[in-house]
Amino acid sequence: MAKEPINLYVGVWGLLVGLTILEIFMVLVEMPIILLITGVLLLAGVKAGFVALFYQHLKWDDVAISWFYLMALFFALFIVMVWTGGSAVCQVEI
Amino acid sequence: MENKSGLMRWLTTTNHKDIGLLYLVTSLYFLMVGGSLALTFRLQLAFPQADILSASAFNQAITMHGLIMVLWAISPFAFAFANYIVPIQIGARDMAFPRLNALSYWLYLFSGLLAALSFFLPGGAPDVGWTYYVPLSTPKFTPQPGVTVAALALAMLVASVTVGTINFIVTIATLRAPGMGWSKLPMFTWGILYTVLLMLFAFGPVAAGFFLLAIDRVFGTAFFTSPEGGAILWTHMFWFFGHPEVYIVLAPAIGVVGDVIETFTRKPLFGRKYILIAFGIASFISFIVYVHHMFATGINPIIREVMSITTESISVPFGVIMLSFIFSFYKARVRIKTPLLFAIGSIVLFIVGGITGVFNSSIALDRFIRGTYWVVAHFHYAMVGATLFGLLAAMYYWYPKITGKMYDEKLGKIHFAIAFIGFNLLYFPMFIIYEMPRRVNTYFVEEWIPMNQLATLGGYVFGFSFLIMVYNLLKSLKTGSPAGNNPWGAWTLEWMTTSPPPPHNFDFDPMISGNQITFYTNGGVPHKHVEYHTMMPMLLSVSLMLSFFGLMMYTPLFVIGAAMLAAVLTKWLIDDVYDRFVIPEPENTMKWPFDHMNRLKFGVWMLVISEAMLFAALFGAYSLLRINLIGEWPYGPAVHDVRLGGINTIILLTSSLTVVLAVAYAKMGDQRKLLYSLGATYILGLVFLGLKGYEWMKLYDEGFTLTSDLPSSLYYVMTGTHAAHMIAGMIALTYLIVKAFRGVYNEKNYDGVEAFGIYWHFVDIVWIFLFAIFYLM
Repeated sequence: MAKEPINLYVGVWGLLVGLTILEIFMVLVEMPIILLITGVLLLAGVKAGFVALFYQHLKWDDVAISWFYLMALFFALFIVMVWTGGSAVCQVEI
Repeated sequence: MENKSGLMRWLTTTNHKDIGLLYLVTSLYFLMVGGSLALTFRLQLAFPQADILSASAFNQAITMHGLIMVLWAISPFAFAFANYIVPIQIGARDMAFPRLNALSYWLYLFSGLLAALSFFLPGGAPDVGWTYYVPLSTPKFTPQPGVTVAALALAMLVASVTVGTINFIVTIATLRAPGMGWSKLPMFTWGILYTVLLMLFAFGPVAAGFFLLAIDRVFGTAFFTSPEGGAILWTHMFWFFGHPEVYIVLAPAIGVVGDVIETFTRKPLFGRKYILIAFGIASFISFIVYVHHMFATGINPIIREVMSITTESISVPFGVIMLSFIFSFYKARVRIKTPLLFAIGSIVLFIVGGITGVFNSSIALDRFIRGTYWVVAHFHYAMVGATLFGLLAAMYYWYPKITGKMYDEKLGKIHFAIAFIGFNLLYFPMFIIYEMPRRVNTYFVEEWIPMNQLATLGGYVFGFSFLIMVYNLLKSLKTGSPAGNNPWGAWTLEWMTTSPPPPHNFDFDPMISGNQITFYTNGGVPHKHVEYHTMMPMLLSVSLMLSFFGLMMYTPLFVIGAAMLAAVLTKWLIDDVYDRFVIPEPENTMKWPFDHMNRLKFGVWMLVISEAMLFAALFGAYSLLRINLIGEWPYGPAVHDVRLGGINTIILLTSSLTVVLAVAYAKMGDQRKLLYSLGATYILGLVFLGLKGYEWMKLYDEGFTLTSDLPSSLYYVMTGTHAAHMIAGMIALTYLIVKAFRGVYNEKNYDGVEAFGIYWHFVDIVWIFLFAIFYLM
């Protein structure tokens, strides 16, 4: 019987739940909106990273798959930056 | 399974060569349809103020010409050869997923027919241009159902492309013959690999765009009619796909040209390694230049300047490729055959198209030549000339392999000469009348008449040249001399088997060692071939077409289509549960750097990447609309129940835990715990969807509806898309649970559970961000 890191999986779940509660807490304490947005997006990124690394097994799998994921992440960030950057400054110009 | 013959063979085949031939015939049919439309509107333009086509008919003709040629003709023409040749070139028996390969084809065929049906609907076919620019393509300006039907056909085509993309990536990455390292892949296979990698990242955003447009048109939302950036959002969503699409269409042709030059110059390509590196760099840059299609939109000047520079820089890798091709002729013993003539034609036309494209990268010049026949000429040289001539080279190059017969060389050369003259007569005059606006059905300037008439004449000459090819190829089927295995003395694997190849491609498995190709003789016992036949891919595609057509035109048809779809999917899953379509995992293949990937797992990973791009575009749309609605966008916690959203998030995260535990228990061979874990995942998924439904109903009661405003529309569409992904996951989970009950999964067989886990966790990741952007900020 192969040894599987079940305790690690449960530990990651605990961390994900904890970070979710922290996110809700950030809303309830009514932080400045910029801090809230930055914090919430950062925490979401950290949670997604944990799911990808440990639950999707990127930590143990062929590293080439991570490159595909990173490429998709790059394009996602590129899309968000160009689409928002383009239109935001456009508004100022108008 | 037994072999089929006659019509049943073609309706049920999953063999890559049969599917390649189906693609070939279908793409040539669409090429003829698209070409006929072009000849019709060229006739209209031959004379000023002609009335052969009304303004509306002209707009329909140019729209459908663009859509059909780009999406249903040229690209599938390339994939006809890709299907037939690539598995043989890499030494594989078939594609990684033969049944999905058949599905790709049938979705392609029926999506094309669905688009063509729009001609016969009230108001006719789409008349909005192939770019579907908004707000023109929104219901206020074009209410006719044909616009929606064609958009749904495009959605179907995207499904076909996605399935095909995944299949080719997995095939090329994991089914290469022993010793077939990346550097030894033939140029055509490289061309297809770059093509499908581009497709993987490019099609998600345009799928998201057409999805939002369909919702605008069917349900009355206002994504693309809103003054808060709706029009610019569409151009982003379209051109993020639209520009790489040029290279998607072109890359297979570059691959063909590379193989043909190597064969007919009888030496390796000059700088082959650098060509491949340049090819990769150009593919990547193609994603970060697309704003040059939007220079006139008033977009951020910094982004305009950056994209102007990246656009100019893309000419560097293409320069490397073209110069390397040209240098390959240096001191070569060149054999002038028809495939080589077309390959040279492709290079010449690409150079003209490329150089004229540099003008368009200038922001200042773009203001001047935008929307004119200069642009029409440029992109037809780059996209059509280079590609079509490359693919015609492929047609003549592989015709002897596919049919076992030689074509008439003299007629082939005549075809080239007439096609080359016709093409240049058609498009070069358009550079001269660079001030003439495109997409207008008439003109009044007398100076433009001669060039327009020359172009029309060229169009008919170019069209006529195809008749020579059809005659030559059909005649040669009967009277051509036998081709033999390797009539060109080429070096790639497809020439190491019979012409045409046997169903299983090779009697003995090939192996590459250094520059030598050898075959495992297996004690002299040849490979035993098993044919797999199924009608499910065809039926699934028919039912989808009926559903989409019925959705717009006739509700009972929609019901029939949907019922048929459900029945086909059920039958498909039952076939799988009872292992009626099992293709053994190939052994001893080259898989680096994917050594730990089996076909299924790798395929699901690629699906996840394509879905990630779809959601990336939806998140992009959210960002653009939200930033344009600053001050008006409601604060998340003021609208949504943060605690309920949080509980649902924790439920979904817990379902991810149960899935990863299921994988672990499957690996450990613990059947009981595996079943418990899968069952728990199912229940958690149901609870999540139930709570989501409750939230939706509550919000609706409060007046926060699909059409109440942009933030609400986006909320329902994004969380709804996520829920649809969950439902798809639940269907897959049902299948897994049934199989787990049958005791299928154990220490050695847990691929299905692992692959499902990758998908389910991705859906979880999407929700993590949805929760953040809608509930918390």
